[in-house]
Amino acid sequence: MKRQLIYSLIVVQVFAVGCNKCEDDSLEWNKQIAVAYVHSYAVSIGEAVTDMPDDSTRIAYIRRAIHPVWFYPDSSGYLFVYDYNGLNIAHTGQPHLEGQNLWDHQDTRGKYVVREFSATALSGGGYVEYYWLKPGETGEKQKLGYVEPVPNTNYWIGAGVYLE
Amino acid sequence: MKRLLMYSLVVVLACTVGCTKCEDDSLEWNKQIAIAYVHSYAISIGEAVVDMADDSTRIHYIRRAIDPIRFYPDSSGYFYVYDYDCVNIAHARQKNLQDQNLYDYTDTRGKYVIRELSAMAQAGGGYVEFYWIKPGDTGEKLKLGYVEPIPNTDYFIGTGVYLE
Repeated sequence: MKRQLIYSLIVVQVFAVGCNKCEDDSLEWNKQIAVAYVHSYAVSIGEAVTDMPDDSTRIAYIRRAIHPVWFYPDSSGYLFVYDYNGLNIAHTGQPHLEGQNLWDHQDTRGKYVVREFSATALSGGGYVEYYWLKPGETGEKQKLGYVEPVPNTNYWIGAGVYLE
Repeated sequence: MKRLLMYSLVVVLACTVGCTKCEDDSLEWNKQIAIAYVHSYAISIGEAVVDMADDSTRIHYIRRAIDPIRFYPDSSGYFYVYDYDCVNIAHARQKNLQDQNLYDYTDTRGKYVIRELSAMAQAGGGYVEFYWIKPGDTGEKLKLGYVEPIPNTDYFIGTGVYLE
């Protein structure tokens, strides 16, 4: 009877490990998808702008290029572009931010979000955790952002996975 | 003893189910990553080319833009671009294919690969299974290709997940 109990526990444990593994994987895969969108856009925008005559043509192009793209099953994935001084160049989720300087913007926990992104992009790119508005919800939600420099420009591009 | 054997079998089965679920997920996630790359490039190229003067500028840009992109842990992910008549516009791995018409090209199983990709792209985009050379491997391997039309052009862009 005791042996039976031990084996039952083992079975339950194995199932639990199997399920947890897949759930943990889901964040890892979603990070890979964010990297895919950000890296694709960084490279393709970086090459496209070299053929463009001035900033206003470049900015108009970048806005047209990122605005139609939403991803993840709940459409919470989108792209944003800033310059290294905190000026918002393009934002799919909140287009009203375009042209605004967010250098001094802090999230509800006091983090200078855009400053941290700029620093991360300047050092080659990577992840930043912060709080930001989530489309279709109220209040700021925890988010894992991923940014890369846009080659041949003074801009960086990012996207993120909402963690809640 | 018989009961012990039965329990062992259940444990093995539980393990198998757990692992299989994650493995199945891995193909699904890799397909999502293929879509992320293809969709990003389709949109960003489609918007970039409207500002470009002629076909040679457009083709030169497309080749530069797809060239540096590699993805998946084994770097087997890359882009290709064709026009709907099956002329290769750009290929990140096999540069010798550029400018060649592959309308009559068949894989080792006799499938007209580029005709099928072209038809799928013209129908709005989707998946096609075919055999193709795998980087760093010998002979053709089964591949699941994913294509989308590039807006504002007569081209489509694709990538694929090697299934073996």
